Amino acid sequence: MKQAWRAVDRAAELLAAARGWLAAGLIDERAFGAISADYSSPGRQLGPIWRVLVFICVVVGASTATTVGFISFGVRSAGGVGVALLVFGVALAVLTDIVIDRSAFVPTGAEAATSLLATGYLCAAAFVLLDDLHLHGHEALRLTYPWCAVVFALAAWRWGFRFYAGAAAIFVLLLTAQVPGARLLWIAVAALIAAWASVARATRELTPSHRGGVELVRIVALAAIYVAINYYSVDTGFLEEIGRIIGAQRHHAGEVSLLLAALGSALFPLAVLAWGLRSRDRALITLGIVTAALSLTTIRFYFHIAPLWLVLAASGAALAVASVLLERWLRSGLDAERFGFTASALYDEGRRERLLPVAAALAMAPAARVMPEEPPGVTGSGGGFGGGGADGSF
Amino acid sequence: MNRTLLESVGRLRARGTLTDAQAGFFGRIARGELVSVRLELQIALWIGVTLIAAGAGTLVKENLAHLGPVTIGAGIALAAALCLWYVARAAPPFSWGPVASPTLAFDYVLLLGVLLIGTDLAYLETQYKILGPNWPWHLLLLSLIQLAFAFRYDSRAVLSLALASFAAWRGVAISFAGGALFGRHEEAIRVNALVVGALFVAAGMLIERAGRKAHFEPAFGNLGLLLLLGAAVAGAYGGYNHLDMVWFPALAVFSAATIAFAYRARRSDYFAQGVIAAYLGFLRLAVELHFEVGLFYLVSAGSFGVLLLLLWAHRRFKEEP
Repeated sequence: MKQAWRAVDRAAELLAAARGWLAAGLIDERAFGAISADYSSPGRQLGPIWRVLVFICVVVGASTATTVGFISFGVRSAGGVGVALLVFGVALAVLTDIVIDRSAFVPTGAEAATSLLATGYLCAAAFVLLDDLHLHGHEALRLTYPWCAVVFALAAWRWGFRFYAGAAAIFVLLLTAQVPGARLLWIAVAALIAAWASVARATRELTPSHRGGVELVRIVALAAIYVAINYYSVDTGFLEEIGRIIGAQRHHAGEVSLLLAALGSALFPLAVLAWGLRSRDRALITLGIVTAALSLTTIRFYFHIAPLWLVLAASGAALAVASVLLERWLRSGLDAERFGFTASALYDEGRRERLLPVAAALAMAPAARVMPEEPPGVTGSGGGFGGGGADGSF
Repeated sequence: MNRTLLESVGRLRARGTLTDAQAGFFGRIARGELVSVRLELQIALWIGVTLIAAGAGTLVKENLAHLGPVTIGAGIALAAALCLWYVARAAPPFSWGPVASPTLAFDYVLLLGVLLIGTDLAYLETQYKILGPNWPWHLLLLSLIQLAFAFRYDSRAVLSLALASFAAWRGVAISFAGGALFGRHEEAIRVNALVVGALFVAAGMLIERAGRKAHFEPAFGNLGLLLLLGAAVAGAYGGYNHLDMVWFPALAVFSAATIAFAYRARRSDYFAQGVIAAYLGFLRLAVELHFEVGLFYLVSAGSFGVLLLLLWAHRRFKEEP
């Protein structure tokens, strides 16, 4: 990442924080105005809606332009397509640099689109060229996955998009799954990645984008460890299936493996949750809660402890009541905080606060009735029994 | 620890932009000594409410034979009443302006209560056939009840649910689940979506003009435009092998009108919907022209043309990044 981009990245983070502080009522307009004046980037700002529109236009425009290129240059053979994808990928990578460097708008959404197409083309080029060299299946994947990991890691390092950092980690893990007896190697590699990311995050001076990328890598690695030690995953040989050659015998877990998986499914979420609470790390806390929910779901899969409706309603009620009690407990502490946690808004939680209930409501909207004009066999979107209505039949 | 933010806070304090107290507070946030879990609590509430509502639905489905209809109906009604009792007790006085939620859980408890009413109403209608062949009218009744709760307790969430229930009454799913609008035989649904969308947009304009819950206008307007433009797009694409000469011009008119109105009113959200609808219409037209290779040139040039238009038009809009 260039020095100038780092400065813009840091300024953007501070501006976003200041906007959140203003929204939460922690600073006044005067202070916000002063921060904006000091840290505003030289370019105009595009809001999220505009960035999405620009992103769509550039993705459609550039991908159809690529097709035009293929047709115009008469590229037909697999080798030709592979080389052309490499060339287009590099060209789009250069274009991404130019957009970030020269664009009058910061950020635009265009750099996200060109970088996505660049990485996509470069990864696809490897698949196509290996196919042209008659390398298929696991042989090809063992070469393609490290290539993709390198491409995404370089993209994350150069442009700072955290999504690419997460994708790079996933490709490294997928490579380990290609080796026989992959589970132990998968866990070892994921643990190494998580350890590296934790150390890098704590000790190195990173730009906001790179810090976000490293955080995502850590969460991906920890989630990968859970995937490897979950009882259901071990029982069904989920990881072994990824690297299994067609026709080869399916993996069957031994009793010791299953016992260790049961212990892992129970202890891993608690350990991550404890780590998150101790370090006041929201991502770890969330991961701990999600993995705990997955472990409970795994238990429910093997042991029918209660009817489904009771499990749903009881777990929902427990979750809702726990949230309300926790919020009250935090609010009743000195300065509305306890042990470094607060339920008050510190950043832009207010904006999400308005959107979340609406999303929840629309997710539970009743199914539409089936229109009588429709001919037999054709239905509208009516169907099941929803939270807020029914279509006439249970 | 966020070193960049910590250094910036220090600089802002040195310049006098932040007071000592503010710098100390933000310094704690940057060092990770103070963390807000507000969003996580909200997500937990959201999931909790969704699970409870799903549990109630499953209970009704699975236990029709075991439990009597009175037991199930009364049980769900009691749960709904408990939620609404809490809401009535905690609610601030009514106002035509925006009213802040008194607690974090308020919106979700209200939503759960309203969802349970919907479940109960649908269950009772199915059991006792009160409306007979006119059973879909229970969706209209439900929509009106939800609308009343939304206005009384100033809830955008319940308002969205009310609008979705109203659309469902006319056979239209807000989520466009299953692509129902796009089928060859879904003309009636598309017309309904168009009318319902126009009604929502008009209602939004009305409440804004009247100054009665004017902050609800974006919910009315966005859902209305989604239905209106969605129906027109579906109509333009619904003809399969030929361009529908009723829906395509309708799409052109609606999207142009939306873009023009949004440009005048400086509304980014409406402008985006108009541009996307117009763009989809352009793609449909490009396919119809059977240019073969030329199609790719056209789409590529059109996309970059729209891009330039966006960057030019953006100057007029003021939007928070």
